[in-house]
Amino acid sequence: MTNIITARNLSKNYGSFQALKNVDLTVEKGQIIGIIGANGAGKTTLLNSILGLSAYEGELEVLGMNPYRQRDELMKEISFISDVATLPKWIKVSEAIDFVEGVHKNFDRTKALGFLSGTNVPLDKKIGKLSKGMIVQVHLALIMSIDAKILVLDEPTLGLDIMYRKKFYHQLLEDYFDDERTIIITTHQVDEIENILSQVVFIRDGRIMLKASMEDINDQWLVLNPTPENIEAARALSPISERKTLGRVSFIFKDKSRDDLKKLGDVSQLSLSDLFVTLMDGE
Amino acid sequence: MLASLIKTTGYNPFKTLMLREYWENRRAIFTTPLVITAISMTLIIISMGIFGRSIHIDGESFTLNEFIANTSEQEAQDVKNHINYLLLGSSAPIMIGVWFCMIFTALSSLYDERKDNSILFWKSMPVSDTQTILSKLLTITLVIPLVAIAFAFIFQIFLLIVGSFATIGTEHSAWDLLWSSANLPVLILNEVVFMIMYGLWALPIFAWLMLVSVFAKRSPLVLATVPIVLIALFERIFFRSEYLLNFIDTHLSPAQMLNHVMNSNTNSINTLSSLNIIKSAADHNFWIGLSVAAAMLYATILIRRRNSL
Repeated sequence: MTNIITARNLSKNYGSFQALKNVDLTVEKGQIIGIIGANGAGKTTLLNSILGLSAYEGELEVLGMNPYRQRDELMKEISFISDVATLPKWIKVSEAIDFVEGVHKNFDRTKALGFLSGTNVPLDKKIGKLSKGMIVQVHLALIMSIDAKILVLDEPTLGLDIMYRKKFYHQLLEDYFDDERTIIITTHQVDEIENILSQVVFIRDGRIMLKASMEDINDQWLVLNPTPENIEAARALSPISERKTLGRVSFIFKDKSRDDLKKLGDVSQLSLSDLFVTLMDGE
Repeated sequence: MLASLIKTTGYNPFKTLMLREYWENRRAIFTTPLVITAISMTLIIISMGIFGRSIHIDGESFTLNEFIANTSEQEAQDVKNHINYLLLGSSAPIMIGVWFCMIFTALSSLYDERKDNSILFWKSMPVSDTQTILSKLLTITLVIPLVAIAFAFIFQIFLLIVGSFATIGTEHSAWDLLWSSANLPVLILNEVVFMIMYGLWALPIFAWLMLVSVFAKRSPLVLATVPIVLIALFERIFFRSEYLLNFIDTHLSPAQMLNHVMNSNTNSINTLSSLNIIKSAADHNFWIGLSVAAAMLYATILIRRRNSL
């Protein structure tokens, strides 16, 4: 596999605050990577460094380039949407399309218009006159129509209703993603992206806590809901954590054989959000 | 031709950046000179006497037509001799209005995009900070004044037409009094040369405004002016000199440049006077200004690259 992003000893300080602490990270081609962390954990700082939006210390190479010095070159191959509404209010939807077409060699106008035709977005209106959801739709239509090697989505579906969110992730997989592309995504709605991710990175206090493939996570981490008589037996297997909800007890295990656990009760996959909480509690 | 100028034609980054500036600054580039021209035209039409007598001199009131009818042969000769200056002066309201547009567009050029976060969108596109800042600078110092000159031209034609109507029924002929004496191509040449040279003379001022615009956390106007006033005061009190104010005066006011034209003893506006405007580039102050501007623009580019958030 080819590494398209390599970070070594990546750090970023804002005054005395260390937003990133000696992060090492490699990302391979053809992955969909979820970056998960609490607010202020360093997700956006990490993404901004990768996108060449801020200076950093340490080594960072994205598609063989130095993102800070070669941002404009790099942006030919990367498209991104950041976590805040960034389309200027004064621009008309049609002008925004004209603009991206004018500066981006790899932009496909037909595709963008195709995405927008499935929405209620009027092309002749200014961004400032659109609803929050519509603005996100315009932005997503623009960046999904750029033939890029890396797509970075920072909270892409903020402000969208659930119908459109589902449709978006479906489109992302069906119409956009292929082996040649890499998608990096952060979101608070972890459950919605869980089944499209191939890799996950947990980040906390500027450090990477865990980087693993979804396969490995699903193999290693299991939830056991033991039958009442087996609760003590389950506890004896030294679970990572134990929780009680609505009178039922469940245990989270790591690296235990699924078959062994099945003897004690129902075994299921651990959801990413539960894994995140478990790892954070464990610290 | 105009239609193809203001339309995107596929992949063409720098043209697209210039268009982007037009979309954002339509008011400064187009609406402001349009409105000033329209208001000036309305005032002229009123003075024609359609709505009654409106020129007041020494307690007497005239229509424009009566005013011309009462013009003596000697005064008519004066009009002929100075018609180009009159036409040039008539565009002053447009030029002054547009000068404010240039100043305020420069002040907001790199501030607004940070205020509304759109800088993150612009930065997601494969255009360098240098290209972006260059497109903004060209818009401020070239596009805005050139569009204004186009409006000034329309207004000058309008004045000649209105003047022609006002000569009807008087002993003065419109051709003799106005059209044959006015030299519109030379006027345009002089205006264009003047605006381009002014843009270069005043480049350190616009570069300063853009520099403030790229780092101001709030209120770039205050940040661009207050420190200057304080430093000038400081200089005056402790060094009893006025270098800073002199520098600003030299570059902000077109007087320095126009002195070169005045000194060359030409009594009329002709091709030579536009050459004399260009000759003001021989002044060492011109080059000092350009160097200061280059340094500030370079700083502006570095700050925009670093300070995206």
